[in-house]
Amino acid sequence: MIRKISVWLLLLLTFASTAQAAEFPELTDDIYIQDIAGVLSEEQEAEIKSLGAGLEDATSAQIAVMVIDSLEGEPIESYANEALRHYGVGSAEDNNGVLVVLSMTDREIYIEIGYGLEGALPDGKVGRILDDYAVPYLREDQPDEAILNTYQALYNEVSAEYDWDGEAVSPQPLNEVTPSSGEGDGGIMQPIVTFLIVLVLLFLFTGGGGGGGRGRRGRGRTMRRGGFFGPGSFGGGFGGGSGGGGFRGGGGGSSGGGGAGRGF
Amino acid sequence: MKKLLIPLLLVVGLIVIAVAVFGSSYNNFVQLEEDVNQSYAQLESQLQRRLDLIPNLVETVKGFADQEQEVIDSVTEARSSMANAGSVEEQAEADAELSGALSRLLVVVENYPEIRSSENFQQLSDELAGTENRIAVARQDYNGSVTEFNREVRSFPGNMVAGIFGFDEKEYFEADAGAEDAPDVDFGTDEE
Repeated sequence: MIRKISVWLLLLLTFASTAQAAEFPELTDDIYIQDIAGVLSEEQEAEIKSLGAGLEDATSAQIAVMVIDSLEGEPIESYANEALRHYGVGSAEDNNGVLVVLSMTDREIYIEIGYGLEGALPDGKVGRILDDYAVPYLREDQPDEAILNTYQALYNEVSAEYDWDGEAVSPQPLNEVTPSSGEGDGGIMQPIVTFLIVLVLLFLFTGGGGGGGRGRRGRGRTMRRGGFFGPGSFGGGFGGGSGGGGFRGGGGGSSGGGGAGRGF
Repeated sequence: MKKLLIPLLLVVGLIVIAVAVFGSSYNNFVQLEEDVNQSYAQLESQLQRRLDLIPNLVETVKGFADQEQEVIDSVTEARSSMANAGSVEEQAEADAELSGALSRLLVVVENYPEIRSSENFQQLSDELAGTENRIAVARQDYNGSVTEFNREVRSFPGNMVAGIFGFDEKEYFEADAGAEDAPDVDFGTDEE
């Protein structure tokens, strides 16, 4: 009991000394994803939430993501550490929380690992996850795919640590997603591109004629550009949902600065 | 006899109150000291972790850039003074010196793309950066618990209890400005 209080005191103390450095937004939904910058689609958020909830139910571990606009000058490492402690990601007993912070204008990403998962996710491994699943997508301006794939990779590592066969997810490094597209369209664009290729082929075959090919390819391209506006659910999305309380918060976990980060 | 009873009760009452107040303050001290010790242990283990990483890092860099003897030696030197540091203050100074030497080493490495691209080095530098970060957090936690402890030592009734039971103010983990400057390189130093 006294021990618990002392831990609590210590936490309060560190809050008192550090909390003024950054203001953290109040949770409005499950802790697993806070997309303040609005880069994920509703489906992507839903997937992260369902993975996160399943993992927490089975193992008590929590993986949370914050996509923010700006760090406002704070180093991302200390922002991530303070945020993890502020929200209490992971359970209080096991400190098994993971927090991914992506800041869009600073072009930095950091993964903070709770004390209890430092064995499963040592810094070197976290760095490699970032190199494989986050940085390549971020460089191609696909923050949503970066978050989703990184989340899946972390999910797999944490599941394995608890010997739990969770939902089968296989995060994809960028080059496997887009084997032939040199322009870096991947993820969501993939079905659209395929569709357009089929369309172009159809045009070619039905339209016939030799010289027409180039012109038609041109048309295909402008259509693909139009495709960018197709998945209009990109930004907004949020809002209505489960506003009325009852969402999942943190479990009181803490961390001590373990993890790794990258600029992009 | 009856005349004595009232003052006696008063004295006993005062003693009871004093014991209660001092006792709870004493317990509070025990608690706070425990927090300080706990956060110090955390800090020390992170400092040790960094010491353990360095030989590996130095070996990796040497493998590619043996000619950067000076900066490599400054890391080795700072590491051994860290290992020999006794008091909190000495440790803090050595820590700052070591951080400075390591960051100079990483700057030098920037000129060697073949080091940077080696997977081994990438992993080591992630571990090192993570450890530096852990040290920063542990230092902050430690200093936070020291602040709380020292505040209690100086305020009433803690100051009296501290005087009786010998609780002294604890040292902060902080280095003097400039401690991170390059140490003098001593080529005769044997590494621990």
